[in-house]
Amino acid sequence: MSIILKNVSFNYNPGTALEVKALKQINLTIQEGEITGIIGPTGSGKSTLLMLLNGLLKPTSGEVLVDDLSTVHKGTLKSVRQKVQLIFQYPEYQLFAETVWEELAFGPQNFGIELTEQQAKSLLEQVGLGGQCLDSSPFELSGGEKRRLAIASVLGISPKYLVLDEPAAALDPHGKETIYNLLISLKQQGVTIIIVSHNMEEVARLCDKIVVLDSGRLITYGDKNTFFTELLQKNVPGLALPVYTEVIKLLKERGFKVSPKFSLEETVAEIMKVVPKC
Amino acid sequence: MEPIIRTINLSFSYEATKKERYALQNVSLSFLQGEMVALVGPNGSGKSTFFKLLAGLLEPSAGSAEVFGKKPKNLKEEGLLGTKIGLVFQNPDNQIVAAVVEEDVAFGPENLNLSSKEIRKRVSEALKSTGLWEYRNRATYALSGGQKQRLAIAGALALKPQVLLLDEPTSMLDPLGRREVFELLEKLNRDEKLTIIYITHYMEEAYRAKRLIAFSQGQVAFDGMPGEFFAKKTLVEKLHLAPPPLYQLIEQLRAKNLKISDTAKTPEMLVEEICQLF
Repeated sequence: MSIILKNVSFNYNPGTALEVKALKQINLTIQEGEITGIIGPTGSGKSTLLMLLNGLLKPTSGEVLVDDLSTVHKGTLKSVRQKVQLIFQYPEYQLFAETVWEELAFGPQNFGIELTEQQAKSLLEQVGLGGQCLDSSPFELSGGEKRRLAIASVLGISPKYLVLDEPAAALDPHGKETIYNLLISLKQQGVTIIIVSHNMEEVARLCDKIVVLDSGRLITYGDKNTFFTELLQKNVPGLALPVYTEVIKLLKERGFKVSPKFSLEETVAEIMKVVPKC
Repeated sequence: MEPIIRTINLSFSYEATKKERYALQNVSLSFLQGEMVALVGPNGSGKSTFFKLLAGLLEPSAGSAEVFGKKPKNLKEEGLLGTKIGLVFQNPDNQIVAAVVEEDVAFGPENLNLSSKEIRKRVSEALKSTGLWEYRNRATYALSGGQKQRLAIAGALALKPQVLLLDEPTSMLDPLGRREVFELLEKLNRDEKLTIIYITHYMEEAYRAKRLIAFSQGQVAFDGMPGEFFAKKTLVEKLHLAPPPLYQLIEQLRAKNLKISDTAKTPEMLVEEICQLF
């Protein structure tokens, strides 16, 4: 039980002169309870892959299974969409309701769930918004708050999988931090999370598994630590190392015996191991 | 040295009737030839408004701006603005006018009524200094994001400006595109002594400037060395910013008594300094 992609290919405009092969024979099993990060250069197929996960796009060939349910059959599509909630880039642009309360209630209603006021308040608290803004307009919130409201508005459906395209993009550092903490706490509650990101620091910090796409092909899938260790040895097109890993890599090239670390504290400790006491 | 740009109590309100709601208020700043300056601050703090006033796209509500001794409005009316100040915006797609790379760069000089020999000379120079010479016959739509943004810079350079103003030039690019464009700016500043003033939300880019100006609610909250700015924790936090990972690493290493200078602006420079400790 999880999301499984079997030999999935996807072509835009198939059979026309404008045909673009966006994804080529992807095989992937998303591990439950983890955060999976999808990375790769612009145009590598990341967003296309996300849209296949909840059946918004149907594979040109191969199949996508969500807890054994196919995303192609009409009969199972609604359950697939309830399980897999997709949050686009800049979801705050999709807010539309007059009040925060209506915004939160809309999604669940579509799945026949009537949200109680209590539940709405606890959703807001979950994303760090506080219950008192239920009656205000979503448009009175700041950019970061709107983003969190947009995320809260799908949490009412209790998705098993949460898929986010660049969840922290264009937020100021403080706004980014609140999103990261939210994702980590959702993971602790058992939600399986899949994100697309260009920010390697973000990926290094949040993700358990890394998927690398390049020109529509899956070129790496694996554990974060293994991935960043390998990245020290070889260059992956379009990917920059996180700063801490870059520093370690450069030290290694200078002949120091250091191994890659991803957090600030670990990197400092690693450097202090090899630096003479001054 | 005489400043090339000087503002005195520069103020601007987008609502002509409500003067109390200033987007920019009493900003007095001077810029010298050859500076590399980063402008930072939360959304709505007045950074872009400041640029638009310098470029004569807006007129001050109060106070004044002088560019090379003249009001931006007068420079603009004389058609000289582009030859003094080059402007580059966030989205490269909005700044490209021609279908072929070299034609796009030629657009500006053609409008200056220069001889075709001079146009050719300027186009080749601009293409060479932005690393686009091999791409001169390419279709502009087929360039990558980083290349497009370098093309936008080449277009501005062909007018031989003395200052380049860039409003978040890297924010729509992936990490490698961002690096490519930022390193070009550093090269233009270093080798051609071009004055470069850029707005950025990426603190690692702000840290690499020689001077950092932070805006807050339309006013200048800090003007000085980037290292000094990030050391002011309360201010940085108040502006919803956070020090870049590299600065955090440097700060932690200093806390362990390692002698790292404020000139370590890149992972390479930091590693160089660490090696000097031996």
